[in-house]
Amino acid sequence: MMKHILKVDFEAEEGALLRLLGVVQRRGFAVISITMPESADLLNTAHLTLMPLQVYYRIEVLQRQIEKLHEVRAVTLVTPKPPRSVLGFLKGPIGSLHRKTLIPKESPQCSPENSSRVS
Amino acid sequence: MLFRPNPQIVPEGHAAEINGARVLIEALEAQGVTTIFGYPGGAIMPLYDALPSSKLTHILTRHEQGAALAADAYGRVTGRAGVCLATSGPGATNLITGIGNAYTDSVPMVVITGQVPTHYMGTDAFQEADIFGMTMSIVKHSYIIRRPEDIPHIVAEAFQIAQSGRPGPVLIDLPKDMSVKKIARPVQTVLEKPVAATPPAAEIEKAAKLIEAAKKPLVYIGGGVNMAGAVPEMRRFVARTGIPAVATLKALGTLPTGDPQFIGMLGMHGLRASNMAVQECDLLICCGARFDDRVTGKLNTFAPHAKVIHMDIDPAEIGKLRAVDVSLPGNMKATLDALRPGTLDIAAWKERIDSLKIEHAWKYDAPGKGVYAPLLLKELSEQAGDKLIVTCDVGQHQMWVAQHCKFSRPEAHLTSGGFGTMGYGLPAGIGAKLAEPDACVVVVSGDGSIMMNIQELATLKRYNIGVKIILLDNSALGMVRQWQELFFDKNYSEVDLSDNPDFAAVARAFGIEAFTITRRDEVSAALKQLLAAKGPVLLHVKIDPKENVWPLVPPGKSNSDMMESDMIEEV
Repeated sequence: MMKHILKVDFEAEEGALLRLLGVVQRRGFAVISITMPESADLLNTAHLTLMPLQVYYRIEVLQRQIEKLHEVRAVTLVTPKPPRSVLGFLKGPIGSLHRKTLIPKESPQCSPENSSRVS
Repeated sequence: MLFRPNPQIVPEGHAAEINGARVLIEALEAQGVTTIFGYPGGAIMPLYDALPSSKLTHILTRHEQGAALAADAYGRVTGRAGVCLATSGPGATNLITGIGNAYTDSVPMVVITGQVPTHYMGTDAFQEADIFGMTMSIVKHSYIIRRPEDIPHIVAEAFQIAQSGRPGPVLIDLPKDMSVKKIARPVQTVLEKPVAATPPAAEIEKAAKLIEAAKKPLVYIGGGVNMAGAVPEMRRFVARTGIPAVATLKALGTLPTGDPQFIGMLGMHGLRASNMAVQECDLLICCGARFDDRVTGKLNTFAPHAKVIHMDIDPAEIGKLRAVDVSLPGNMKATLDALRPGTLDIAAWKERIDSLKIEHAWKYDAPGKGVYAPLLLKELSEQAGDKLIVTCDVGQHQMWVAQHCKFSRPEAHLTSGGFGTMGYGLPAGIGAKLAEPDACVVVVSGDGSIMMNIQELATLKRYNIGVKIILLDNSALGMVRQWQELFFDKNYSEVDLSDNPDFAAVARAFGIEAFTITRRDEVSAALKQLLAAKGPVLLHVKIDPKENVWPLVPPGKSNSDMMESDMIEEV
């Protein structure tokens, strides 16, 4: 299945990252990797590489679900160039299993760039 | 992560210091809250200490779930956030079902939970539960108070979030040290509800053109219409276009049941005429609905010939399950008023709808002398009139209410639609009656559901809340029994409740007037007695345990495959 990268700008409120990842998981996407550099201000930016658990789960729908979060400022669907995982979520046995079962062998296809801003 | 400092808080120079609990109480008062539902306990005690000297009326329920569900109904009736509170740990977790109920049905609610002191959080302290983490998937937003100075802004923001856009519950977790810490009395904040944007005129025009081109248009009304305050606009739209309409469970009453253009509820237990209209229509105008599986049946067979116009305050719902031809996210009031198609050529379609309605009208000629629940419910709404608010539990009786009661406004029918929470009815009745004291509030429950929150009879008695209860008792978990009969080869598993207590005696033990009927010829007089009662009263009705809810779309089947009592028929 196609991998997607979402860039999410969100305010550093308590629980914001958990809330973001919770929506991703509940709406049927696996987190393949996540990068979130330290931020000097109260705005964080996370790059999430995601894969739908069912072929009919669409990234655009997830994008709109994430945009609804109170602390999220913008969600951008970027061309999927997998960033290097800094959190290591998928290392070890569980991560290996996920990689084995979820990631197709072929290269990820590109998605059209789509950006929107939360009003 | 830090909470942003609130620039609007300007401590008064020499004002007396008050503790965080009092700040929170004053914040609730500033939001216009008058009634709250809750249950005290250790970590929330400072808040309860501040309550008696406040302007708030606190309703002590006998279980935190009752408090959350009562607050849910209060929110549905008033359109403002219902408020419930509980202590940490089990008190907080007991609220969760009520929070989930409000989230799924998009009900405005503010939930306040006590929490262990911040320096104990994360240590597995007594009655510590990570309610912030546990509820993340069933709230619009949530907060942990880290500084008492943040309370006014957080409370104001919580109400704004709960009541704006697509409404929902917001949780505020209040650690005990934050509620006892004293600060200079802060200035309270009230945030305005933002007005949703209207979709571009070009899109509305596109929708109008689609409507003009349609030969068989149909309006599919969801609960979002009332949530948007757009009931008058919807009624005007339907009246000026002449387009027939169906409604979801949550939207019943948006058009009065007797409106000639209203067909009925659609979906799993909908009127057959409604589902046939959906299957035949060539344009579906979906307003504030979300193509729920109980509505659509097998999704790819739902409204197979229809183009779709979808209007909703929540853009994430548009295109989620059904591709649309025109999307109209945003302000539904403005959209409906702006949507003005020209002359429509739908006379033949309207004739078809009228004939479907006549052909598939409900029949009340069930044989026998036992009480026939659909007829009782029809008579209830006829006797009670426009002041009626029915709050339902979940199961067969819930579907009979939806099918057979007449509603003149959406608030007249409070039901746990998306979550299907057994035990909703009684606490919801309490919340509804307190929200609208002049209403004739009738809880319609079943012998399974009533036991889920039977303790709230004590709440009715304590405050002498004039809620009337009709308990339809078929000595079984009727809906589960029906499914076991139809889909599990009559393998009846754990559905027999024939050893139920004497419900009238139970009610009387709580100090509540109660009586029982068993025959059809007793119904009219019993309903008169029920409706004439001044205080709380319970009417216990014994009904046939074998009675089923018809029609029924089997799970996973198309709405074209509705079953009747004589089994499968093709529409």
